[in-house]
Amino acid sequence: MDKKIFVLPLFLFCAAFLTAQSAQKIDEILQSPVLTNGQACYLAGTAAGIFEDINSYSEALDSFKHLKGFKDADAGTSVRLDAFSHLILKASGIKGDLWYRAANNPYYAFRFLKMIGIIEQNAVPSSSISPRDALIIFTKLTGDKNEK
Amino acid sequence: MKNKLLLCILVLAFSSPVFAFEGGGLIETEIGFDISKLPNNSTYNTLKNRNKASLWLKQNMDKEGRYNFYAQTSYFFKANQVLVPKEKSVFFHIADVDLLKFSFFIPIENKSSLNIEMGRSSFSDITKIVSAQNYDGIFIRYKNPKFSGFWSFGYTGLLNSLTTFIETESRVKQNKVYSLASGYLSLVSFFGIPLGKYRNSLNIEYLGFFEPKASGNLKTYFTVSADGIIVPRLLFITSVTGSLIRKNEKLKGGVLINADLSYYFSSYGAKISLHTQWASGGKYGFESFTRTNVSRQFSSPYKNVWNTGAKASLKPVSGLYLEALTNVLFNGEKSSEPFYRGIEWMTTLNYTILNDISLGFSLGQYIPNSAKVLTHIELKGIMTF
Repeated sequence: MDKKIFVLPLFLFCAAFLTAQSAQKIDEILQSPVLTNGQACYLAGTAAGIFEDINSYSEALDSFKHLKGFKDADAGTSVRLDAFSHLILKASGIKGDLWYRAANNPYYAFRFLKMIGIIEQNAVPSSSISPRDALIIFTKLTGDKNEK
Repeated sequence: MKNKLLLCILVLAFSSPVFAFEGGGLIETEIGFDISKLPNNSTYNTLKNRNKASLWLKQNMDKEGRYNFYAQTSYFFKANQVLVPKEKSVFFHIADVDLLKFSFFIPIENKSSLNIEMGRSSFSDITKIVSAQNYDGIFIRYKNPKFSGFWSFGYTGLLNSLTTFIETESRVKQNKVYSLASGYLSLVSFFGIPLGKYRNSLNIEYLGFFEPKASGNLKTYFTVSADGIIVPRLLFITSVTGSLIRKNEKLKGGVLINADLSYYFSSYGAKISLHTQWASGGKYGFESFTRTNVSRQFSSPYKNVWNTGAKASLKPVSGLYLEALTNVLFNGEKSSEPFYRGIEWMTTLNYTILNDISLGFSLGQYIPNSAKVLTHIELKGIMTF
């Protein structure tokens, strides 16, 4: 059942954004128990079309070092849910609510995604995130954006 | 032992850096004008200004976000002014603790779950008429695909009577920041089962309130309700409540009937609904536990009243909500004179900007059987942060 739930967002994600990417890289990310900062930036950057064919996660992270939550981040450590929220809002070009626009930080990105129902109500900003859940969040967010 | 347990929970909640703290707040302001035409053709106009500032926090105690501590506190500033005839303004400063609880969510196998909450939390009964307020106590919810249950044991004596309106004989207005409410012990038991093709629900609920003193008041309510889908987009809610109230050593029974039929259109979030509520009066008079009102515009407790009305709402563009309603009110007991009480209408417009700012405007009138007409105008602004 879990696999069935997972296949749809993965399919949508891959079909929409990752046609030019190596399936091996995606498979590698999906095998990870938790999503790392480098992997999160790789997925977000690829999906947003910011870069193509970057092979290293640290290179991907370098592209997002200007964002709060990623300045001193290490590519190999797990990404926080609030930092991931900030990353995908920036990558997808969604402007967010009043306070996210004003503060432009991970906390208000997390709060915004929770408020619009993309992130579960009991989610914790400092928690780590699995690659599977990351793709589901990204798919929901881009789906919402396309609907609007 | 209790102190050690509490200490462990607090240490667990606040000391570990891996657990996250979340916080926020809300600022709300409301200005209402009531314009009354009296039977002698004189005018009585009032201005009511209500301001509220709330701060909330949530501290989780585990990585999954299943064990949490919640707190919310509010400060109210209210100003009432009679404009015509001119009278002196009256100001109120009120403080309240809206929420203060530990919550433990425990998933159980086979899609079942148990949620235990301890502290101050809000509770509304099935009808949302008998009880709609906070309680201090323990709240246990159990859910599985075959049935759901809710049990609660609480106390009302530590609540603020200036924000929690328990239906009592004596309603003494005290100009205080915090005034303790009447002390009732509460006992709630709810049991619901899904039924039929659309998994409609059939529920029974018992609410008991006891004043823990000699010859104290006793209020008990027993509700049977059903709600769900008749055909796709057409939803119903219906309930029958029997009440038994012992007040001043006199025992009185009462009945409340509530029914609502709503149709949801496929576009623009449009909805149209018909509703009726009947609260018995006279010898077998119904009385709710919380002071809830039939109308949003004027004081109208669920006592000896029969209300029938229609409501339509629409979300034409993102963030914009429009609503119009009308209600016709009669006395619950036909022998009460006059049987026809009056008619009200109300229109509401709400606009939410960037998810965090909401502006509201409402205009309505109550045209009672007597010559007195009440016009109500309200402006409202809410900002969350």
